[in-house]
Amino acid sequence: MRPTIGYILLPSVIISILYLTFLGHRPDYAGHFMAGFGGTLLMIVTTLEIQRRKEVPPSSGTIILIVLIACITFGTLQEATTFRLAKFDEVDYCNQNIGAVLAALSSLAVTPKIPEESPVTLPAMIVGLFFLFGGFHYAFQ
Amino acid sequence: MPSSRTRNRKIAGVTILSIGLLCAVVNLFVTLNRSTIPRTIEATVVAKEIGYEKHPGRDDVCWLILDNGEKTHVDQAVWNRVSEGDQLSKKSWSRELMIGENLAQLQLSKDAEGMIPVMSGVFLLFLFLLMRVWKKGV
Repeated sequence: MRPTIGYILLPSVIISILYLTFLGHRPDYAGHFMAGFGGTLLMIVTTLEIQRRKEVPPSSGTIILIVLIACITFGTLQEATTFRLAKFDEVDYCNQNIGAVLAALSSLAVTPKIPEESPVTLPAMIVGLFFLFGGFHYAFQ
Repeated sequence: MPSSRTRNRKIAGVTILSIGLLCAVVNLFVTLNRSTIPRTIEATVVAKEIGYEKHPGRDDVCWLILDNGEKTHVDQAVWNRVSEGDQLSKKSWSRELMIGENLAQLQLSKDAEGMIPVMSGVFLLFLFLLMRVWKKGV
C-alpha cells in the first residue's frame, strides 16, 4: 500500500513545491493546481468505488478518462462564470487542468485494469480533500 | 497479445498525457507572449485598460488597445512603460521595443521565468507516470 499511495502523493507534493518555489509571487497558481488535483482525485476515487460494485465494471482507464474530461469541463464552466473576474485567465485554467491530469495519471498508474476493492481508496480520498482545501487556501490567500 | 483492457489503459494514458502537455505548453506560451518578446508589433496605443482579479495590485490584467483593433494582455512592466498615443515597433523575438523614439529593453516576467522550471518538472513527472502506466500489467 505504501509505495502505491506514494505514486499519488509524491508527484503532487513535488509539483506543489515547484509552484510555491518558482512561482511563489503568485500563490494562486499553486492554488489552482492543488484544487484541480484534489477535486479530480476525489471524483476518480469515488467513481471507481461506485463502478467496482457493478457486475461487469468498465475498465479503469475508461472510467478515469471520462471522469477527467468531466472535471475539466466543470473547471472550464467555473473559470468562465464564477471565477471570471477581469477575464477568463488561461494560466489559471491550465494550472487547474495540470492538477486534474496529474490526478488522472497517478490514479491510472496505481489502479488495476478492472476496478477492485483497494486499500488505497481511503488514503487517496484524504489526500484529495487535503489538496482541495489547500488549493482554496492558496487561491484566495 | 495485449488484452483490450490493456490497450484501453495505454490509450487513456497517452490521451491524458497529451491534455497535460498541451496545458503546459499553453502556460509557457501565454506567459512568454505577455512579455511581447515573441511578437512583431507595428501599432499605436489607442488606450490602456486594467482589470482587477482576486488580488488587486498583484494579479491585475493589463491590456493595451492598439490601432489595429487588437486588445492585447501584456505584463505590467510593459504596460507601465507605454502611454496612450505611443507608436510601438518591434521585431519578433527581439528584446528591444521602440516606444516612439525611445528604446526599451524587454525582460521576461517572473511568471514566464518561473513557468520554465515548473513546467519542466510537470513534463518529467507526467512522463514518469506514463511509463509506470505502460509497464504496469495488472
